[in-house]
Amino acid sequence: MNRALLAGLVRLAITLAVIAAVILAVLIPFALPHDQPGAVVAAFLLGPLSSVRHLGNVAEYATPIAFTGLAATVVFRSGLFNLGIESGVFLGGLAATAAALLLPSFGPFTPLVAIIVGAVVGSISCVIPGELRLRWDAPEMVTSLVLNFAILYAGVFFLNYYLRDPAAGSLMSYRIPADARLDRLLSGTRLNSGAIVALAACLTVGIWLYFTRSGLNLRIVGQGPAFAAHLGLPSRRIIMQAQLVGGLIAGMAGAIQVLGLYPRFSWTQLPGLGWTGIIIAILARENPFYVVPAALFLGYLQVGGDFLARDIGIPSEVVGLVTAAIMLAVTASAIFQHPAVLRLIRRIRRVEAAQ
Amino acid sequence: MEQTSGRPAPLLEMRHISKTFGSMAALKDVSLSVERGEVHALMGENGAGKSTLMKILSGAYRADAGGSILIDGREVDIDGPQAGRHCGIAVIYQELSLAPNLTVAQNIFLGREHRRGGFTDRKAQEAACRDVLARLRLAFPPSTVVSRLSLGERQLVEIARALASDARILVMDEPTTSLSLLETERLYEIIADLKAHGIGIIYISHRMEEIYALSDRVSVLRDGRYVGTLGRDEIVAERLVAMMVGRDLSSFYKKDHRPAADRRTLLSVRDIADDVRVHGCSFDLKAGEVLCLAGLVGSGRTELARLVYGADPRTRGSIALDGRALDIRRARDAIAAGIVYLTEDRRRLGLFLEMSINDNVSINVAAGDAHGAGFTNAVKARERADRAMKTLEIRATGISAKTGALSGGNQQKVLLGRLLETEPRVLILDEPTRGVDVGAKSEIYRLIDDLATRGIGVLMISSELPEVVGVADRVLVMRDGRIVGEIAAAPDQPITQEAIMAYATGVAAVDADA
Amino acid sequence: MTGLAIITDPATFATVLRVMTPLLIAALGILISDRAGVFNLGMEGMMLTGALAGVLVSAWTGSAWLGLSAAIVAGGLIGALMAFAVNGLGANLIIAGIAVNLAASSGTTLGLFFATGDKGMSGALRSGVMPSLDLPFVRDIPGIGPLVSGHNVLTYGALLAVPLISLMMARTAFGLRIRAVGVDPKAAATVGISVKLIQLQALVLSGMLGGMAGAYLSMGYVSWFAQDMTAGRGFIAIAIEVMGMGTAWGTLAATIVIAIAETLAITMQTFGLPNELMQMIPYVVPIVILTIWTARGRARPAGR
Repeated sequence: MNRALLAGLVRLAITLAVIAAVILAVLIPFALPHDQPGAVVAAFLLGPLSSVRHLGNVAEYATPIAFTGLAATVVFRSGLFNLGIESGVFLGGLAATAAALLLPSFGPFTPLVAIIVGAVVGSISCVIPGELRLRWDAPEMVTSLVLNFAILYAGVFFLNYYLRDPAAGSLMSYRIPADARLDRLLSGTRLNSGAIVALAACLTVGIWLYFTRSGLNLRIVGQGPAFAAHLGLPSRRIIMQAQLVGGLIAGMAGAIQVLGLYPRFSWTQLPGLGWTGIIIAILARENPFYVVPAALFLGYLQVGGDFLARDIGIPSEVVGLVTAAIMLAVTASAIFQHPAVLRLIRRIRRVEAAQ
Repeated sequence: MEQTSGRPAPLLEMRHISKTFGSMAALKDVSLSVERGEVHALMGENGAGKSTLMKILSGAYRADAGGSILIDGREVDIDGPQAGRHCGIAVIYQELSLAPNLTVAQNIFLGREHRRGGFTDRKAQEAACRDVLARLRLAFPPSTVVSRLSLGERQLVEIARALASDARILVMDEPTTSLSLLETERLYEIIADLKAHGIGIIYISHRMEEIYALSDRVSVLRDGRYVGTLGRDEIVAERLVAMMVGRDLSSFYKKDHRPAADRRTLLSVRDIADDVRVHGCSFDLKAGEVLCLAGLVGSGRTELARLVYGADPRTRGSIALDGRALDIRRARDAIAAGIVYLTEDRRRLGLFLEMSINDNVSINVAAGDAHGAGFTNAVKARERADRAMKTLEIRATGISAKTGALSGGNQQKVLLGRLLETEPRVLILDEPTRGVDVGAKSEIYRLIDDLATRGIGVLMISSELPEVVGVADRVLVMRDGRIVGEIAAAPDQPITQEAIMAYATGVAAVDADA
Repeated sequence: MTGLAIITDPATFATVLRVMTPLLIAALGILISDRAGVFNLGMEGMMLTGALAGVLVSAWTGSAWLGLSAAIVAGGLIGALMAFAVNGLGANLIIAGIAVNLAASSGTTLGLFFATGDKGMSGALRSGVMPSLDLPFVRDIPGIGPLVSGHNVLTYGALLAVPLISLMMARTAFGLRIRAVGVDPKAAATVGISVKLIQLQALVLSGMLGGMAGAYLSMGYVSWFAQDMTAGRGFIAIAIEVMGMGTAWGTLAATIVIAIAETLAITMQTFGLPNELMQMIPYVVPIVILTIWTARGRARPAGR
């Protein structure tokens, strides 16, 4: 057996063990006061796996965050810490809704047109902080952080003045026409054709990043801007390209989320999918191929949370605590760089070197 | 003063010190003693255990049980940096350890501030600081913010900090690396003064001339073990190198390639300048020649090389290869023409520590290898990495090993491998052996010799004069952005360090191009 | 109401102070952490936690001051937790900040639910409000007296914190050590300063200020807790701290600019200008200012 692969599996096993431990550690305080603590844990962990329909729910939750996770991966790979993805999702959903409502119907291509509009408009949120950084050196983390809110209010303004359905009780758009909505894949869930697009997007970006010259250039620039300049790579263009691609994916996430799930656009707060995307990018170690399993995993947790809320009466927000703890645990170098772990992995590899 | 009857205990004694990290032994039963007023040089290859030993002395690491540290004959327990300081031990690290945003006085008293009513007592601190600065004859006021000082001045502030804390044992780790010639002389004076005050100094350096000039004794470590100590009269370069490497390096420098006098001119640089650091330099490089650019740090050597390579824009001048003028505007143009550059700052500018050897080697040539549609060619990349591993004898677990895990010498070889894969005509090497241990150095010299034999023109920048003398066919000496001297090796008259220094310091008359 | 009348209206002045209080306290908290090299991206979460802790404890004990204390303690605890994650577990600082925000958003919702059975608002709880302070003598000064006197006690606290923190940074051993650790941890370690300890202290202090800022929101600005009520103020505070270029006085100046922008946004709505567009102003201003400053090469590298 390939020793390097074995060493990788050991790492994976440790990661899974850590995640399991963290889930239990967060869950047990909520479970203990309950009559049957075991039932609480079982509902959370096994509920999502109990039927095809629930597995469909997992995939449904995973769809938008796979997109945002992918967007975060691309953006972070450029070396910029651009948090504009959060408002990119919002903007993408809004723009897709606007396209569906205001543009004429394109028949079967209506969803495609709306998604493209959503992606293009949504990309603004990542392009602006990137441009400010490259042109004027403004710190992208800070500008993107506040720009998210500026975009939110601009979007709510647009919703209120141009898309609002006065007949609806609260602030929401007119009903999105049926021909713009995405096809549902599984009855009883809201799983839609967007999931397939998400899968394809992750594979495409993965191939781009690891098997093309342009992807290699991006990885070079992200790791060593000084050397990229030394090599004569057009760093600025490559970095901007990544912001644009990341923004497009974020916008797509919003568009697909709205067209796939909701009858109307009704976001008046940032949806939080961008932040989740960052978590996914971290879990996936900024590798597009790992984004899909990472997104499915968070979707699984979310459905588990829904089971807790429905069957046990514990709010599904527990999932947020679990996710936060996992985020810290899987990035904790104290665990993964622990001498014992490193020694174990080195021992496995050393055998390979000697062979 | 010292007792006249009986032998007084040495100022510092480290006995039977061992240190293991995990299962790896970094130090094995090392002993070292320092007398009052002695400069005790500590030498050894990178990884020999020098810095581990010093970290144990300063309290940054704890030694394994079994060893002991004695000061004035009394055993002390150094269990942390604070304890080390209490024992009068101060370390001046190679990488400076001053906070650049604080003033000189604040830095000197950082961690043990004078206080009055909850606040730091600025006046008292600055007064005390002024005394120390005066003792070192430093002219800047205590309220100077450190970021305004030159690197050399900062080094001296570190010494001032050690003095202010009443250090009795001073460890200097390659203190002259960032010093100008003038500052180095100043440092020598200060060391003499410290000796006169009975302070014991442990001096870590790779530079033989410093060892000659300063040390009373030299101890050598190798692979974490104590090899031996030479007294002042026994210090001979060859002997020290042999002790460090553990074998006789009869052909440490290898120069087998034919002298280049009869070869054709490969690279021809005329009146190149950026008018800031480089002011009109012209030279020719022949095929199969090793041409060294010597000169003091800051004389414009790296800047000249970067102009030739197109890494920085030039204001005037022309570059021709094989007699054909080249239009080099950026690095890419130079690479395309077959001129490649090995940066002196490999960690920042050259290597991707997170990437594998495979990726690192093929980065420059991936564009040429690419399939249609912009896909990279993984098969060819692997071939290239395999070739580099073999020809350069890179020691790693495999081509997928991360370069960050390699030793300095092997990292340098990965970079060289990358450059060689571009099949260069001209190879510019900027301090190729910096931070590389003695064994790998010798391998790099051999490689340079091989390349010259294959007809590649090598332009090498080096601050180590023995190295320049050892490998160069011809030496150009730079000073203040100009080439001020040229020394060619002749069969009857080898290049000497003295001749280079004479040009570099301006002692010899300027006879270079007008 | 004319524009001039709005500007001279004492109520406008009071609004500026009301708006700036939480921002200033939070931004000063970020300042301390930033100078120690542990940029506190979790400020939003710390504020949220403080806001809930203040409401719950003041409702249980009937004392607003105990509520405030609880908020400060809660914020400090999160700061300690973040320090442990970063320096103990070796997690990435920015990720730790994001995790704190996520955990606080979920955690406060859970906390509110278990305390009141409601997930959205604490309206059912009779929680305390921090008192206003009438400054004796000052209030009697004609003209400025009514302007200066009678604001929330935390507003005065925030303003007082500016010189105090400035003095702490410049003139105390603790402040010097924070600055040394922030700019060059290795340098600090060689003189025997414990980098981890200083960063722990800085993050705890930062968290305490965050808790206090949150308490102001739920026990001063309004008198209840609502889900995610900080509404990005922790992020504006980050922008403010960066605009303030790492000094307490600069942070005060930046806070005033943002507070005036937000006050204008609030008052301009009375002219019938679209509410949402006005709400953008306090978020756009920092982007513009930061960009102008960095373009002129004056700001120091911020954040990460």
